[in-house]
Amino acid sequence: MLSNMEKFINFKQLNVVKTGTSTANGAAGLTLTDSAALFTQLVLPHAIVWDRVTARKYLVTAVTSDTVLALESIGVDTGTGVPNATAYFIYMPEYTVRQAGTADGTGAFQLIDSTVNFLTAGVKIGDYALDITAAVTAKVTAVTPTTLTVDTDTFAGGDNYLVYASGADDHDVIMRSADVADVSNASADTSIVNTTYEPSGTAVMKVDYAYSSTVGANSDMRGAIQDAVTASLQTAWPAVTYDFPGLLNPAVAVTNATWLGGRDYFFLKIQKV
Amino acid sequence: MQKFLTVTTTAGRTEIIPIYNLISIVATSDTLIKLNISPGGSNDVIQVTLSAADSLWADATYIQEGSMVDILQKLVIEAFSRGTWSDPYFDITGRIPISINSVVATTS
Repeated sequence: MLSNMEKFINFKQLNVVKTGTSTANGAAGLTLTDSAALFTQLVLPHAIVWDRVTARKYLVTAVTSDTVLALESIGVDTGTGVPNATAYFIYMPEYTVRQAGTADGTGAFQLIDSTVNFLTAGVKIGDYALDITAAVTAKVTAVTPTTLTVDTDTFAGGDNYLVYASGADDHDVIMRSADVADVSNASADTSIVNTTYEPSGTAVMKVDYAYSSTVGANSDMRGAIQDAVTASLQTAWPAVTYDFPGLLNPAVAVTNATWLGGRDYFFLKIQKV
Repeated sequence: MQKFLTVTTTAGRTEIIPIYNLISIVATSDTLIKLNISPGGSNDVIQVTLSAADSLWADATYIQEGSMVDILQKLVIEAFSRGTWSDPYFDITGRIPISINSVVATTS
């Protein structure tokens, strides 16, 4: 009887918080412009933008307006900005947006919005409330369905706001680690690793990821995934999944060091191809 | 180890979903989920049709937190870790927020 042990690597893949198509040429200017977007209520600095046409990736350095983001290139294949009419995805590796909207009441040290339910939106004490209109960030100290109490008296009726929590906006994605035949760098992209399975070798899982630096080697991630495959197979039953332990960029001269030390990686899309 | 999810469809049929040799789970639309089984040849994709659109499905990634794909992933892991050799079935009917219309094997 042929019987396999079922084992999986569990990756933390970032959720897509915004998709769209650019409406102006940001190439050379290191910007993304989308006239249909409302970036101020979706995106915070240090979000990741993935240009889906050229596969270049960027870090958001500033939310310039509702429709424009200022960018910094990340990844070994550096870009100069998102060209016109280009599809893009945006991810949030540092924060998770809980709720956004417009305050419709005024109270001392309160953010009031009678049209939402902050409790069901997952807002918790310690989360952050950004007053977009006043450009002031407060900390949440109490939560009721329609009112947040905050530690800074800034919100007034009519102010746009964004409530968010620390921590990546991500979820678990499992990838089979049993029956692996090969783990390889993609030949044409410096941020893709492909895993091929026995017995026929036709099934391939593709891992798309982003660097925080502009320096690094795709083989580093290949090695980390190979190590994770081995480690997952060594875990005792009934542990079916093995959490990918992460990887610090071992390159000597990393860039973007002001963001997470420039040494982090983020998983954007893991899928069978 | 041969393992199956079982589910009672909206038509009242009990269907089995093989999960041994599973490689990954994806959704190709907001009502269609595919379980890819190694090696990836004929009839190695199990296609699950939902009875209603999954509002959390995202075309961008095929999977988002809390989506049906996310839930099925967790149920597969639970099935592998909890089932015994003599009981290869793990029923998910009461564990999914959107009921299933059909389960069929396809080639892609």
